[in-house]
This record gives sequence, C-alpha cells and structure tokens, in this order.
Amino acid sequence: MKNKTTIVKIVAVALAVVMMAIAGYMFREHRTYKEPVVVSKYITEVKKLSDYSDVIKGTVNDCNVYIFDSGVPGGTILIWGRSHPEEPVGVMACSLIVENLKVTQGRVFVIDSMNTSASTNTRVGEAYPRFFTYDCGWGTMKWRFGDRAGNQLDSWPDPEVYIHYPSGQNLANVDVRNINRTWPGKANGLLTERTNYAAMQMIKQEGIDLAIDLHEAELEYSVENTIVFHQRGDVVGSMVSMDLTADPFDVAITCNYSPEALHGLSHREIGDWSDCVPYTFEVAEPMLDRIRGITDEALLMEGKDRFVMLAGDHKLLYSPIDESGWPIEKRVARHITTILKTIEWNNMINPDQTIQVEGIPSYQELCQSLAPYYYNPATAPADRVYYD
Amino acid sequence: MSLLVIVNLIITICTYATAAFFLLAIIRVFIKTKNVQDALVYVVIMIPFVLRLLRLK
Repeated sequence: MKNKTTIVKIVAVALAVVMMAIAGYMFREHRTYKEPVVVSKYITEVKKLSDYSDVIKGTVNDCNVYIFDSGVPGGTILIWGRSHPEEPVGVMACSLIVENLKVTQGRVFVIDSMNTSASTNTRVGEAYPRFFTYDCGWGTMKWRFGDRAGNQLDSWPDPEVYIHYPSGQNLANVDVRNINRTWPGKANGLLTERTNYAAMQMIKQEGIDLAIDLHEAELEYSVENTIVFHQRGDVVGSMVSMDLTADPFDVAITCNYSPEALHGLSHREIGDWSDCVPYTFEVAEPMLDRIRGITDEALLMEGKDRFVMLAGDHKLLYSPIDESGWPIEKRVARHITTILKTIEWNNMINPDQTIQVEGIPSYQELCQSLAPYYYNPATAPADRVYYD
Repeated sequence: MSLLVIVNLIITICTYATAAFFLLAIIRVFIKTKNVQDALVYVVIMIPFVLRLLRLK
C-alpha cells in the first residue's frame, strides 16, 4: 500500500511537471516573442523612447521610435499603435507605414507598440488567442495579441482606486495599467504613467504638431468608427470626417469632441499639456463585443460573427455589420487613409505644418490585401530589421 | 521613486515570500500524506504557486 502511494505521488508530480513545462513554455513564448519590422529605406533614424526620458530605461515599455525626417522644413506628426494591444489594427497599420513610408516634407514619427507590457498580457476568462498572423506570400507576419492593461509582472499591485495625475480624477484601479488613462504621465509613477511621461517629453522636445492614437472598439460601444479630437483639432477633424464619409468609406466616419472632464486619455491630455493637437481614431472590431461567439484568430482577422450580426438586426449596435464582417484589411485601410487625410487637411488649414508623404498604398489597394506591403525580415538587409 | 512605487515593491516581495511559504507547506504535507486523493489535490494546488514564483503568467 505504501509503495502504491509513493508510485502515485511520483507519477502525479511527473505529470504536474509536464503540465507546468508546457504552460510555462507557452507563457514565456508569448512574453518574449520579438516582432520584426523591416523599416523603409527612407527612414532617417530609430530611437528609443528612453532617449527622451530615462524614467523607462531598461523596462519592457522602452519602445522603438521610427523617425522619417525629410530635411525640408514643415510639420511633425506622431502616430502610434498598441495603446490597447487587443486592438491589433494599430500595430499592423504602424508596421505597414514604417515599412513603406517616404517623407518629402516635414517629419513623421511612428511608434508601433506604445504599451508593449500590455501586449504580453491577456484577458483572464476571455480565451484570447496568444498571437495573430497575416499571410504575406513569403510567409506570415506574426504579432502578439494582448490585453488593454499592462502586465502585472511589470506593474503590480494596482491601487484600490486609481487617482489620475494631475487631475485627481478617480478611475477604476486597473486603469493605472491602461496607457490611455494615464496621460500625461508621471515621472515617478508606475510603469504606464512613466511611459506616458516619456512620450510627453518626446512630444515637447521634438515639437510635434499632430498626434494620432490608433484604436478599435466593440460595435456595442457608441464611440465607434470615429475621430475623437481635442477642441484645437475640430476643424481638421471635421473636414476629414466629411471628406472620407463622402469618399471612399462605405461606412461613415463620424467625429467627436474629447470630453473636457474625462482625464487620462491621449485626445484630452496631450492637447491640454502641450502645443500638439491629438486625435484618436476608432474602427469596428467585432471580437471585442461581449456577445460574440467563438473567440479565435479567425474572428479577430475576419470580423465575422453571427451573434454580433444578430445584435445588429435588433438595432443594438452603433456600427453596421453584415455577412462580410469587418475584415482586417478594411480596418487597417480605414486607419491609414484617415491618417493621410488628416495630414492633407492639416496641410491646407495649417500650411506652416505641411507634411508630404509617399509610398503608402491607397484605401482600395489596402482593402484588397495587405500582403504586398509587409516585407520578409529573413531576406531583408540586416540593418533594416528592427524588433518591437 | 514615489511612495506608491516603493509600497508596490514591498508588497510584491511579500507576495512572492508568501507564495514560497505556501508552496513549501504544500510540498511538506504532500510528502507526509498517505492518502492518494489528498496527494493528487496537493500536486494540482502546487502548479500556480510554482508558475508564480517562476514569474510565468
């Protein structure tokens, strides 16, 4: 009997070690995966965010800053993705821009991954996929799929109530790890607050005129398929909204003022604490809807879900959806086209901030396929491959 | 470092120490028990403690 118990214990421990090894490998692979970017041959410089403030030096959020400087005087724009890594269009659009952009006037700054810590996290109980991929013909582009808030391994515990700095507004405790609730940041705060602080230093030191934060939203949410702007961006934002709704977007892109009393968001705080005019773009992502069906990579990339469609039939959504869903190509195309149109209208309204760009495909080209615009890191010159 | 960052650091260290304490306690009762069903339960309980101590989340 004693021998039997000992044998069962040994077998049980062996099984537990195997399970821990498998789970541990999967967790570690997700946390340590590096995403390659083949930068455009026209790139001028790649900096780290900590070059602007050392408060995030050595942390997972010390991201790459891709800089395109034409050398011709003009405006400066900053574009970033992955404020919320469960909204993948931001990082996909930024990667595509970094891989193809040429700037002939002014400067363009791009950050693919503003909150890398959150990309190493996942949402407990939501069965999110660990990665998502895009078939490019030469192979697949692969990105981490994360959560809205930073990883607890990098910032823990959360306070009982998150008190936003400097407004003093009370927010949900988890929002202390949500990088779009911690602007303008705090030099001696927790990781996300320090990341925002470093980004604000970059905006001020580089004299950035426009800032664009790329997001996605569930169709059940009212701030959907829209441009949210600081009040100083209302003319440009409104014109972009009308222009794109007329052509080429099949679903209107609306516009909203940033609420003055809601703090911590990029479209409010960057405008309040610098000369830069911030915009946030939103596009529909059915995978974020609470009533969705199977949560897998196919839903993420194709945006097709019969339960979300059923909600639409009952007029419970703020965005249309049909059998064609919201494919990733269309979502990326909308964001990139809205960026280009914002630059175009800002050039007209603020000619001293003129930025001229080339190399970015049209809305129609992007809607067909993103594959031609991502390049194989295995065959690219080594000095053009960077990792986020 | 702000007070919040220092407090977080202290709590984090205490949490890992607590996890290590409970893991050792579970291992101890696992070794001592003669009941097969209890032994299996202790093994399952150990897994999250080990992953937490290895910072695999």
